[in-house]
Order: sequence, then structure tokens, then C-alpha cells
Amino acid sequence: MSSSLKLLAEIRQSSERRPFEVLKLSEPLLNKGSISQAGDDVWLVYEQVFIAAIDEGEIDVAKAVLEILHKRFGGSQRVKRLYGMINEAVGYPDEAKKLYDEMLEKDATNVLASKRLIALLKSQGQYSIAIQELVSYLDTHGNDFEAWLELAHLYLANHLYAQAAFCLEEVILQQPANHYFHLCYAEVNYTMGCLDIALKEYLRVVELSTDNVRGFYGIKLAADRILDITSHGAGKSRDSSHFKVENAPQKATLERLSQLATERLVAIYSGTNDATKKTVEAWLKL
Amino acid sequence: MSSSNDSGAKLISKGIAVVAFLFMLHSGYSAREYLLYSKSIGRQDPSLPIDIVLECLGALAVMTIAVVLGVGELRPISYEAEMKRYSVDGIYSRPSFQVFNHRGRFLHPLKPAVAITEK
Repeated sequence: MSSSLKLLAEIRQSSERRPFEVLKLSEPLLNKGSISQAGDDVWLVYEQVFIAAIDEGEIDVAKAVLEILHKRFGGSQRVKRLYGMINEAVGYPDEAKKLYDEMLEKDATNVLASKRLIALLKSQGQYSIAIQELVSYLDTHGNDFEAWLELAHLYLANHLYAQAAFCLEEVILQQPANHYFHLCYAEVNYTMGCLDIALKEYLRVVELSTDNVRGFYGIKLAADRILDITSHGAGKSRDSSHFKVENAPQKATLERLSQLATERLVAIYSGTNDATKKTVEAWLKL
Repeated sequence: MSSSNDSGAKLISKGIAVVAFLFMLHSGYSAREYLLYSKSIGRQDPSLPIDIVLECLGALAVMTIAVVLGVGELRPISYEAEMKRYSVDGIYSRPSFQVFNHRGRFLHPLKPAVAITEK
């Protein structure tokens, strides 16, 4: 298998959104017809190229690829969804909605179609309706962590942090060892001022992922802020209303945590260039 | 270069595994022959001679190692090492909820169109 097909497969598995690279890699494959080397994966590659093409606005490429897919899988619901997506991309959301509705009429449990309908609402800026729809979707599909994550980000876009935190808890419940979700949860809690939970979650992040810079920065910020609030007297500062000082660790522990985070950050950045090191040290007030 | 060397080494270890397997079959055959022979001469003690046992165990050890070495690239089993392969962009992206009415089409407007040739 050629190296570009391998790279495409890597991008596909990482689920990162890199349409420009996908198109660049697939262009020679499509032109020379060497895409067939992918074997059974060729249809996945076509789908990937299609989505990248509508992301980049290369509607002609998208249409050509869609033609190939349609020839192979005529009545497929998955291809129908792609038709809906290209309608979204060229600015016919009503057409797209009609297609998705047809898909749901045929099979009410079609997860992909329901998700597209929610995405469609999101693309039209109707966040509150999208949230409503997503909540009722999650009533039936409670084990869909991607939907919980989406709901969390919809709430975040509307500054509803407590609700977002709840959704992230659901995500963590399903993937407890994934430190990225703990990180997001910690950051949401930090934003809300729940510093005790934030500190705990940041500690979980560095426990699950060795030398996680974002985690250590979080520990330092959270520990220092708790120290700051407690030293100015509990209850007086408005920050302390969101968490109980009793729930936070002892003062000595907090100081040691902050110190540890500083040490680790300095150690992690010791291999970088001088400018970066200076910036980090200035921030850490060394 | 290194990958071709790797595949060569893999081929060799696969070959060694096959040879070791043949040795194991041979030790089994020897054991059967030996037992038939001892029965026919009416020997009381049915235990196998040490060379057959050694051949069997040695072949098993060599085959296990060769199979492990020849199976392909071994990956670390810790979840953390697995998570290192994913970026934060990949984890937070929700592919089913992507929207497409964004500025993407205006970012690279002058790219030459791709001609599709179907095979």
C-alpha cells in the first residue's frame, strides 16, 4: 500500500479534521486511479475524500466522488447522508433536512441521520433547539459519548458551565482512563470557580498522562488560587462561594503541589530553547 | 532500508518457527516409535529417553520465541502509550456533528480542480 494511503488511514483513525492534507494526499491517487490499491478500504477513502472536499469547498471533487459511491451503493442510507451533507455545504439546508427526515422515516433508529439533524440546527445557529434535540436524543442513546461531548460543547458555547460539567461527567463515566476528558472537566470546573474539584481533576490528568504540561499548569493555577483565597480569609472573597474551603487540601499540601508543578514544568521545558524557557520562568515567577 | 531489514528478519524468524515446528513433530514421531518399540520388546519402564524430551521442549521454546519475534511490531500495552497516539484535536472532534457552512471554501479558492478518473 502506498504511503499516502497509509497517511490517509492514519488521519481517518485519528478523527482529526484535516481536509487540506486529505485532499492533497488523495489528489494523485484519484488522478492516477491508484486509489484502488486500498482494497476494501477504498470506499472509506472515498468517503473521507468527500467529506474533506466539502470542507474545503471543492464541490466538483465532492460531486465526482459521490457519483462513484452512488454507483456502487445505490440505495445506501450512508450515501444518502452524504447527499445531505453536500446540500448543507452548498447552502441548501432545507434539502438536506428533507433527506435526513426521509432516512429517519425509513429507520427511526438511524443514529447518523439524527446526529446530522442536530448538526444542521447547530449550523443554522439555533443552539437552544439543537440542545433540546440532543437532550432527547441522549434519552434514547445514553451510551453515545460523542453526543455527550457535543452537548457539553454546545452548553459551553452558551456559557452554561454547570450543565457542560454534567455532560463531561457522563463522558468520563464512559471513558474514565482518557485524560483529555478529565482535562476538559477540570478546566470547566476551574472556570466555574469549583477549585477543589478542578485541582483533583488536574491531578488525575497528570496521573493518567506523564508530564502533561496543561495538567501541571492547571495544578499550579488551582493550588495557588486556593491558597490565595484561604489566606485572605474564607467567605470574604466572592471566589470562595463556589467551593467549600474544607474540601480543598491542607495549606501545606497545596504549597507542595504548587511547588511540584513548578519543578516539573521547569524540568519539562529544560530541553527547549532559551526564549521559551525564559517565558515559562517568567510566568512561574522564578 | 530499516523496514526492508525488518521484514527480512521477520521472514527469517518465521522460517525458524516452521523448522522448530517440524522438530516438534519429529520428537512426537520419535516418541511414538520408541513406545511401540519398547512394547514389542516387552520393556516395563515406559519413560521416554532424555533426547526426545529435550528435542520437544527445545523446539517448543525456539518456536515460541521465533513466533513472537516474527509476528510484527509489538506495541506497548499501557493505556497511556495508546493515548499518546491521539491528539487533543482528534479526541475533541465530533465527526458526526461537523458543520459545513463555514469559511473553508474561501480559504483555498485558487486550487486547480482535480480530475477524477474512475477505475
